[in-house]
Amino acid sequence: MTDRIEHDRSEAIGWVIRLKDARDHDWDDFTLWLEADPGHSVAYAEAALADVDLEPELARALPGLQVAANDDYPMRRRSAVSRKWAGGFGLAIAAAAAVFMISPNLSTSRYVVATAAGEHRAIDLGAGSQIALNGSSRITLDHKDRRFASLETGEATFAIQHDPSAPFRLQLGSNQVQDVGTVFNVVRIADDVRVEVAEGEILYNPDGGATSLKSGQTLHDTASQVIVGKVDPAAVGVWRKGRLIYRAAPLSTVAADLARNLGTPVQVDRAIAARAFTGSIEIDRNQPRFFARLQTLLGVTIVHRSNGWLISGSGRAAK
Amino acid sequence: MTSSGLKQIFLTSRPVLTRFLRAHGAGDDAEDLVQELFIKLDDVGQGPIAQPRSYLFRMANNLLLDRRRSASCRARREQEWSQGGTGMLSEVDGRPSAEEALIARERLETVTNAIAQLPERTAAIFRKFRLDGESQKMIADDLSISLSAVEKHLQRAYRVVIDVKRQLDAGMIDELRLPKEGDVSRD
Repeated sequence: MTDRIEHDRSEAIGWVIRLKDARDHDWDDFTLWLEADPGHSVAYAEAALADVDLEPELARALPGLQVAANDDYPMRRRSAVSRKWAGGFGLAIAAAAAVFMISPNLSTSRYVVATAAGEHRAIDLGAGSQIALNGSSRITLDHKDRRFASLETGEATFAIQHDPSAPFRLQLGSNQVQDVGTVFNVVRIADDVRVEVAEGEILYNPDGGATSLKSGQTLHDTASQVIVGKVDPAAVGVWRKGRLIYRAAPLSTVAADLARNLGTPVQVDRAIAARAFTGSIEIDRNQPRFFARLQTLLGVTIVHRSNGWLISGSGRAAK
Repeated sequence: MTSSGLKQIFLTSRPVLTRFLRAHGAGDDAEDLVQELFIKLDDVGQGPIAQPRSYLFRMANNLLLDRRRSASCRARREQEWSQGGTGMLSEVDGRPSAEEALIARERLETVTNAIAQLPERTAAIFRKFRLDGESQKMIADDLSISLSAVEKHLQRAYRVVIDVKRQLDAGMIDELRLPKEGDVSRD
């Protein structure tokens, strides 16, 4: 009898797996299986409920993402992405903010990964391709198409496996980056797009004014013009060492993130705590220099007191 | 797909949906449940639905699972009462308490420990499938292993998940039976 129960349980698990991505005929087959024995629906319910109810715990308990180029996972094709970059994607995920991921939409294979302010997330696309997502960012991916991504807002560094037969397409609103296998960084805030290439070559808007960018080149599309520039390839994606990006975030959030990143208290005057900030801040460990720059960037006054830094509205006298 | 479009598909599929619900253990309630499903269609957003019939089945599936979950919760609560417990489960009381935070932390620990027992590759495959949304075929290709090998790993992982859930469900009752300060002994 126990053999039968074990068998039912195996089959039930098989159905939980199969129904994750069900077609019409899967449901018909499932109905037949359920009808075959009353014990089947019980076994299925147990498996399915365990899966659903432990979702929050499983999301945190499953091990962190492994870099694809790893001895445990031998790959048929050699990774074309240089080791230097592959190794650099072992990101430590910021402990403070919770990861927010929208569950897969029932109707399409697309899904969204989003980060809270000041949080980093690594996404393993499989087959040697990875994405590192900066804070306050949102990216749409596709279960069925690993060569597609759409950066809704924020910043991400892409390390894409070389595959000339299947170009990687990154949507940026009405703009697009097409790439055959490279490492590049993108910042998108609404229609303003910046791209920096560390390795390889990308094609920006291949179908409209195609601009080709190689390693060491940058592009800034302000929606009214496209400006090409230069960058040290080693500086591309340097945000992983601490650059925070915000979109209409209150200064109180910015202050909290700075405090956490610098390890020093940062307060903001209540009068301006709710003021919205859009832009990116690169953390500089030299605090006096950093906060001096930040004053200009935020249009505020920042002073150092015995218990840390204080951000207040311009023109206010420091106490 | 508009709400009325979905309803159209619903009306055509109604017989198979009812049959599905009945097979799923709804019994005589199948007709009522399919009606409930119809009413829920009004809540569905306007966005595109690629496979409407499949969508409806999924809704029906979730309905049945919710039912089963409530039934087993009720059964556990009743068992609680009969064994002299307080009958207070966290699902009943919406407000989180210090005790509930403790239970939540222990839950996470239990799950984490169970997952840690899995071989690394099994856990990684499970993660790819369940959290990263990769299909079994994608995983098989990535790791250069067969589809059935992937399935075996997933079977193993899901078994652990089911066992942990049982453990937690059973444990919940023991948790709540711990005597609190001031309680008169029930012996």
